[in-house]
Amino acid sequence: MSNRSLRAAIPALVWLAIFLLLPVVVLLTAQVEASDISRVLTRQSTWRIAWFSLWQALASVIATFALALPLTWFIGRHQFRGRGVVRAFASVGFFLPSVVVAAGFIALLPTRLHVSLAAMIAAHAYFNIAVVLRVIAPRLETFDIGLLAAARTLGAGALRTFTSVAWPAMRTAVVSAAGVVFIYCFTSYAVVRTLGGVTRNTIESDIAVRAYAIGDLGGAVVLSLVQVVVIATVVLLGRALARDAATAPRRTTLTLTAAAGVRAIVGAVIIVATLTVVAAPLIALAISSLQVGDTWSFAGWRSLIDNGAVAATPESAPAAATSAFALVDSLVTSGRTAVLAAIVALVLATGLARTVVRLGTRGRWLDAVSMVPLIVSPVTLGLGLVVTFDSGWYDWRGTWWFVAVVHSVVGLPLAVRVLVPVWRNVAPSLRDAAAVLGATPRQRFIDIDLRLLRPALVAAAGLVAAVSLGEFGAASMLSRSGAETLPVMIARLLGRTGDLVRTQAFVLATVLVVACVSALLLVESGARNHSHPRDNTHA
Amino acid sequence: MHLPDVVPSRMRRTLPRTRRTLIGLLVLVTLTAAGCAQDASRSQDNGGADTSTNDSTVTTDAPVTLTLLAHDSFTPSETIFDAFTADTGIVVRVVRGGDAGAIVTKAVVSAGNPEGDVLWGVDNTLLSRAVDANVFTPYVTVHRDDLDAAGVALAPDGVVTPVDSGDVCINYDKQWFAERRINPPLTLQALASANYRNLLVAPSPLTSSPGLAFMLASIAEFGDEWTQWWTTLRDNGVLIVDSWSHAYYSHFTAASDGERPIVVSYATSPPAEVIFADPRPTEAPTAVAALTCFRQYEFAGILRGTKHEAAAQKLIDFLVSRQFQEDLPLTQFVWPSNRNATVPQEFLDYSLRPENPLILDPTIIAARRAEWLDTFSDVVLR
Repeated sequence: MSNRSLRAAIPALVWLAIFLLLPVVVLLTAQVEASDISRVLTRQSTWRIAWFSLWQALASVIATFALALPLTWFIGRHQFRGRGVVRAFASVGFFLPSVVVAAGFIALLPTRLHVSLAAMIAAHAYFNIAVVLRVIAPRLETFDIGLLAAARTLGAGALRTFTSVAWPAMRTAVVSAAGVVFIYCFTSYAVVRTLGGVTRNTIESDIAVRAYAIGDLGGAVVLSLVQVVVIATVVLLGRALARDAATAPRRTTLTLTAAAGVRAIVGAVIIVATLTVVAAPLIALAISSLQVGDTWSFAGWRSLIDNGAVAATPESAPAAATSAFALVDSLVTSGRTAVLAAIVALVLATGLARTVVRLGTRGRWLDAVSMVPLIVSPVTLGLGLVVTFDSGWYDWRGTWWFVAVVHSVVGLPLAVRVLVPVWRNVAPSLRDAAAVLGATPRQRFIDIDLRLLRPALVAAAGLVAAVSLGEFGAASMLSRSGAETLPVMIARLLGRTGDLVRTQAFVLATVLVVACVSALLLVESGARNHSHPRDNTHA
Repeated sequence: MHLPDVVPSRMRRTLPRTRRTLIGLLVLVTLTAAGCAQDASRSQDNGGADTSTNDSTVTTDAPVTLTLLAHDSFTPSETIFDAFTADTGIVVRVVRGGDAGAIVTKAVVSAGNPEGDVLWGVDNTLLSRAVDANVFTPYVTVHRDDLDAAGVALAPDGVVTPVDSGDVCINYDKQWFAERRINPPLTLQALASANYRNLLVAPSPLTSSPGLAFMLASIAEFGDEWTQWWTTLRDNGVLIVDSWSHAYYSHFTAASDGERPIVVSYATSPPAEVIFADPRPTEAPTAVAALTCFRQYEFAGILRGTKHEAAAQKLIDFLVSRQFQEDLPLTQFVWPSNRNATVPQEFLDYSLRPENPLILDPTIIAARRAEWLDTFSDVVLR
């Protein structure tokens, strides 16, 4: 049984080995000498930067929870109209490329705050609202509120009720969310660079400086290993803390209450406040897309649909604007890349998740392996891919689908995160019953598992697609002419001279926001038809 | 990340199994076909190339497609290569791969197995890094005698070919200084004066190519004293940001709501301010301090390991031909390297070409860049 179930995980493991492990190892052997290791480890700035990465990530985790918990509580405990839509909108920040969010913050904030620790941590919190919301709210939904009443009846005080009833049930989800937010903030690059300012360096931003500005590739690769070690240590610590909570109560009936009276008002305030925070930088982006220099103009939008609009600008230099053709091309490329990445990641994640679920507690290592793509530096991975797939039949650097392949690797952890908990709740009794009725294993998998998992599969595919739409690091390394993804195009336009070019960048950013919101709404509608989970013993 | 744990409340009717299988197959076939088509066109290119490699007299039936790797600021007119294709049958595909530092780094790690055939945009601050890594195959262009001699002198054996040049200088907001009746700073030394406290914004040399040029300008100007000057500048409230665009479009008073009227930018920024404006002003709102300029030369070179060497040589010739060079000023705001190229009048009208710019030998830059950047980090960015 064990060997058979491991077999389903093999494609995903091979995929990770080829497109994640191999490039890093190749880069390591090609560029790193023993002296690089001692040089980097003995340099004082290495540890100063590592320390800054660590504490800013912890501070960002706290800020994220402060921003996201009120909404998470309300959504997790209450049923109300438009719940799915609120959840989709609140999540959008996570899927936008950091260049876009940073541009939105800069458009929104007064100049004085453009470069500050506060702006940087606020942007980190903004990004990660979705993580807290999506990891913790489902746990809250299924928490049996009757347990609290029971504890009270038995004489427990508020504090005692919290520490011995509520917290143990929530601990796994909280630690899991904190861990993911921590990883994202620790490896943050564009936000640190743009909003944190040049005096603040994380390991990831120092890797880029070493690799590109200084040309110290050996040092850059060693730093990315330091990063893996630090993150792995912190995450393993977190897992150790959460371990005994693995016996968290089995899910029970959904116990959402309708919001009424004071609660409804409180809820409305929370929703309005959170969505205002989420929307503000995005609205600032949209406003910027309607301005060329200081004047209001639709020129940016016109250039998206009509090449002539740009050409007609009197004698302005041809480079004043990128042609509509190139802009629409990047839209198509992004869409195509996202769809392919989602399909590949879904197939791989399904096999991997199946094995993780089958192996139960023995599958923890596999679960951990599926998270590895999150902690590998995108700069290092991108360079590794350029070095590894460089000749003969495997010179894939110029192909459009290579970016999708890399996105399938980057999106895999999220897809696995979505599938595993849902799969765990598919009652074994259903499969047993089907087996008794004569269904083959293949039939059981298709007719029971896949069918029950469909909403989760849709959700996983949507998330991978959204991640692919927003991914910048690897895409900027591998993107090709006529096949540049939206984030890459936006970053390039923002770096150029000319007001119209900048406006076009904001137009594309606005389009990207709309695309991401649509993908998320699709995910919500995929899940909505099935939003009344049942006690699995009755399913 | 978990989404809501969901288990459907009822079995839903779905497409019949056969139809689902068919759809799946269809998707697979489409994807495979797309992949194969891509491969086929690639191998065709390579086949055509093999016969023409190292022998420019052999003509082949299959059209050669050259990949021109460039930095993100490479923005020629979109149809510029059509004439070249018509003349030679060679198709040019432009691939932009990040800033100048990023493309050079990628060229270095893939030296011998390049991502393209020709690289555009390695400058004199990065040249030695690429040359030392044996990235290029030398070629002396047929236009060599027409090119800017100072640029050619930086790569005398033709390992790369100078394609354009420009100057990184202090720019200031003319109106801001006129309104306050303050004289703008005309030298680097002046920037350290208390008159200009909190007025300068500059991109960091660690993350920006003009930022690096500005640091090198200070080294060319002050020699070993450069760190003292930066210390004074730091105490005088210089704002260092990550990128040129952030400095210019978020902090410079003439181009944003910012509060800094002095910025590190290009000598060609004033014409850009005029030419991109609608309606165009009669004079540029910004001006350049000529004595603060550091000259950047950009080069193009044939990447060692290309399968299309003969075609790549033709492309190098085209890149420094009058036709291509005359397109540069108004599309990329740089000066052509070919001295026979006609520079548009509007560009000449608003541009400043410093006569004695600050310069540094590329080999010295290569040898000490890392050390200088570390020093800069320690002194200015702490």
